[in-house]
Amino acid sequence: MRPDDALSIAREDLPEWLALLGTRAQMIAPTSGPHGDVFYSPVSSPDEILWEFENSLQPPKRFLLPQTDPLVKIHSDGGRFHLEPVCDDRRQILVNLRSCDLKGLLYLERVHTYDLPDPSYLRRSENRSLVSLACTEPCPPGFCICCDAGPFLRHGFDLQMTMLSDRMFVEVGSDKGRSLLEGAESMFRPATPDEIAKREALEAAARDHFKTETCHFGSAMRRISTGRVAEELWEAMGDWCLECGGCTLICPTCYCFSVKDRRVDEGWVRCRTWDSCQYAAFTLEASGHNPRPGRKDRMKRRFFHKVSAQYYQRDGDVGCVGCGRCIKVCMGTTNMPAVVEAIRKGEWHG
Amino acid sequence: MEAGEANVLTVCPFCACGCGLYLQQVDAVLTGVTPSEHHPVSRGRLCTRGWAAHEASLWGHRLTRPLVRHGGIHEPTDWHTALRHAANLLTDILASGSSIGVLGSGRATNEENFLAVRLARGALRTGHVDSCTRASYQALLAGVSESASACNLDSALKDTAHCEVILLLEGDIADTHPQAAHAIMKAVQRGARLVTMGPVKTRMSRLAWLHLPFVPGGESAVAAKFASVAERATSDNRAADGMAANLPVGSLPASTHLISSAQLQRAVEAYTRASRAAIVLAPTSAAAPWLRAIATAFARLAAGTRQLQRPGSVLLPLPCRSNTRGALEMGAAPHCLPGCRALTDDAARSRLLRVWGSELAAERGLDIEAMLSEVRGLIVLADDPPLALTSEEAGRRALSKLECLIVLDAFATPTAELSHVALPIGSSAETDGTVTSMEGRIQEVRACTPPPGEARPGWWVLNELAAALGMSKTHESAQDVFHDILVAVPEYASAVSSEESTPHGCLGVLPGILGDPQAKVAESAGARDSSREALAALRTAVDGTVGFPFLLVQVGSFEWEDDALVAFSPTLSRDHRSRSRLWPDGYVQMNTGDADRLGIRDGWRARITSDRGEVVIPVRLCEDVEPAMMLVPFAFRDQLEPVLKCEVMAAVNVERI
Repeated sequence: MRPDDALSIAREDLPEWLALLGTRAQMIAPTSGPHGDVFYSPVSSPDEILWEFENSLQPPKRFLLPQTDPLVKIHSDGGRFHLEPVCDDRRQILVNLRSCDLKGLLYLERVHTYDLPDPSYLRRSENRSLVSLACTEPCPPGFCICCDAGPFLRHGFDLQMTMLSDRMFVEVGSDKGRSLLEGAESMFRPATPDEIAKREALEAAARDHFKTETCHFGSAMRRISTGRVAEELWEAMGDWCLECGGCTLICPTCYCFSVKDRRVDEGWVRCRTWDSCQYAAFTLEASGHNPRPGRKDRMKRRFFHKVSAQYYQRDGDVGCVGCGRCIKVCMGTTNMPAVVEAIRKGEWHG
Repeated sequence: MEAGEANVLTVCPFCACGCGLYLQQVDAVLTGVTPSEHHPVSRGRLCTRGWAAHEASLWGHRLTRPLVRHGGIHEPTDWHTALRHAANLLTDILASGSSIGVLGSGRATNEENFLAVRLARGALRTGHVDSCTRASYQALLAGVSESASACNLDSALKDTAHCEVILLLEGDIADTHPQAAHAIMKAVQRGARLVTMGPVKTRMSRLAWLHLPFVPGGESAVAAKFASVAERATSDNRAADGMAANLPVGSLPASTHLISSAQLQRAVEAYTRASRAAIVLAPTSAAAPWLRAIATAFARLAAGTRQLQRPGSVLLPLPCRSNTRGALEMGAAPHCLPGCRALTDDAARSRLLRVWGSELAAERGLDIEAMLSEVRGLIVLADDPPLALTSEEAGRRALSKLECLIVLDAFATPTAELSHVALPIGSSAETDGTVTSMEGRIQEVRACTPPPGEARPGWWVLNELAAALGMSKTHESAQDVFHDILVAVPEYASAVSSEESTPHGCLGVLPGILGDPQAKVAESAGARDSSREALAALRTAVDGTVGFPFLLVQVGSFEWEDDALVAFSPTLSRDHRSRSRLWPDGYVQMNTGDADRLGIRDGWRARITSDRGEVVIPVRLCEDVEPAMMLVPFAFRDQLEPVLKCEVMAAVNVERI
């Protein structure tokens, strides 16, 4: 941590700074819904922002990869079709992202950058600033420590905030992050050695919170990458999956999609929509052949993508950020830690 | 929240589990779904359908303008003209002395169903009012009520997850009621013993401690055997531990031929010894009379073993659709008034007179099957009735012969295509109101976006149609209608004012829901006839003495695939559209070993012959089908009509072509 990258701001000055940011871009932050659920939503006032909260069930990936994402407007004119790209140029600042979710966005950025860059995603990404709030008290289902996705981040953020007793410790991670401080320089000052020490102590305490509870990706990766997971095990695990697709739809790193045209006025809008590799029809071919006809086939594919060394090399990380959402939404029992443990031990007990 | 984006808490519009979800909209366009983490039923978990709850409204073929048929072609018109035209058609039929029927819907809200009943009994003065999936659910409820006076469905799903033994009468609930399947799965994970019963091994059977295979019609025999053991033990005043020992292992009913006596004994023993146990009754392919007998037998078992008196034990019949129960409780049935009150209940009639502002027809009407052959005019609310009928094709023929078919729907369904007047209403994502889940949880559904084009909320259209027919009172909102429901159905008022009422709904239990004395006599007689016929077919098949060594069985009583909410959802309809393209003539499923012996490979066509007729149809091979049994998916029942002749099973011969 370079000295000029570590700053702090008084807690009572936060609303003023955030209000200033709100004049430059749309602010997206965790908010409390009317019925007790937490959402990342646009806010019009810093007062709406939650600072102590259990993470939202739906990750903030939808602000970069919406569930229904209009890509191209299509209209016909005398037998000729005209295509017009739909550009989302809104400037947005995502505030109080949890470390796991920010790590998920970095993963998605890599996926949408290499090989064939995705201009729609990357345009949005350019216009988003990512401000995380480090997890001094890790959430109950989370296992981010196993994925190097928390509870604190070392890089990848534009700004990372850590709540101290009376001040907010702010780390600058990029030029985009530094630009968020412009106009508010008087509110920030370099962090004192004492504040840096407190921040380090909070991280150590948070990491210690996990103790020996880990999701052993390493040994699972060795087994799955070398084909040493028995077919019978996949079949047994497949029996405990109800194919809801929830694990993929709420996963911060999943990006399977389908393409659909929606009729609008006299034309169409071609949309990218979320899809799930756990749905039988996702790989169903026009001939009726399905390369992944059974639940075990689809589950095998999902976890090979998530955990194998082959994909680790390509994507630069395991396809999991340890947020624990798949534990909450699974209609069956085949969430990430359970399946990784089964792969590691070579047995499944439901 | 900034204008232009919203998350609106509502209820999943598919099955009757009553899961909570948020619909998301940006600039008044639906964009997606988020589960409600704090919802007491779903707690953040949604099935495939729930995750796609926004799709049909967003991508579906919508009705956006009132349509009136002229010269065989639908022409758009304005609301005033369409409503006047509809009222004139209906008035002409009434003037000629002919009958008109009204169909409520398990896809519509309580408010819409309440107003549909008002339209029938108040404006049209007819008792011909029903809804498509009522019969199977009510048969289960009625059967349960015969033996179990206390049937508390409150928190049934949550309790099921903590039961030690679960008897599950299957129609593949992993598909039909995934949240119920989840509860059972959690119980099994905790060590519960699951006993599945049905003609085919399903996903839940693969997790079962015991699978009891039998043919349709065999359920009641098995349940009766369970119950007789339990009752004998009860009369001897023995402890539950002693019950299982009394199981006579001798001659079992013919329909249970696939189950060994040892299997049955193990299941009985487990059920009776459990400190808390669940019986979950899914709608199967059995006809309503059978379902009633099945439910009666299982309820006897639950009562006889005193399981029902134990805290946390469950006896749960499953309705098909999100508001099948609500439609029934709103009176969308030929035999009762709103609140499931008897037609002769003077107090209920006076309450309705107060809120409807008019006298009502309190005679018993026709059910849906009888209506289609006897009425000349029909009003259909948010449904495609032939999909739930014994024969879809015959249902469509009957609809096309009507003098007046008025359809209120959000979607351009095949029934809407046949209509004389089509009135566009809001979909589940565009409608305010309430629905009632299988547990009796009365929950608000909330409009996330406005209806498209000139479509209006269903309650508004039903109000206007009633007004065009002379009803004076109108409502200003869905809440206004709900206030009337609270007056007409005191149990709903009690539930709403209860201290336990939350933003996620309240629980209402109607003591009168189970009663239908007239139907009891008729259906019991029908059950005996149907069971005899089923057993005769079974014996013929099992004996194999007359050249029909296979039993052809229709599975399921309702399939989501043709329902508008699925058919118009791009994600949910993919499998079905592919299946229809690949198998335009339908298919039957056969045990792999049987097919090997006959030299039939997957996809080959075979000639299937019964004593009623023959048909040539592709055969698909499946290891989960019992030997000597062939299965007909509900969607392909019409293709097998020459062999089945509207029954759910037949003894058949199979020849390779």
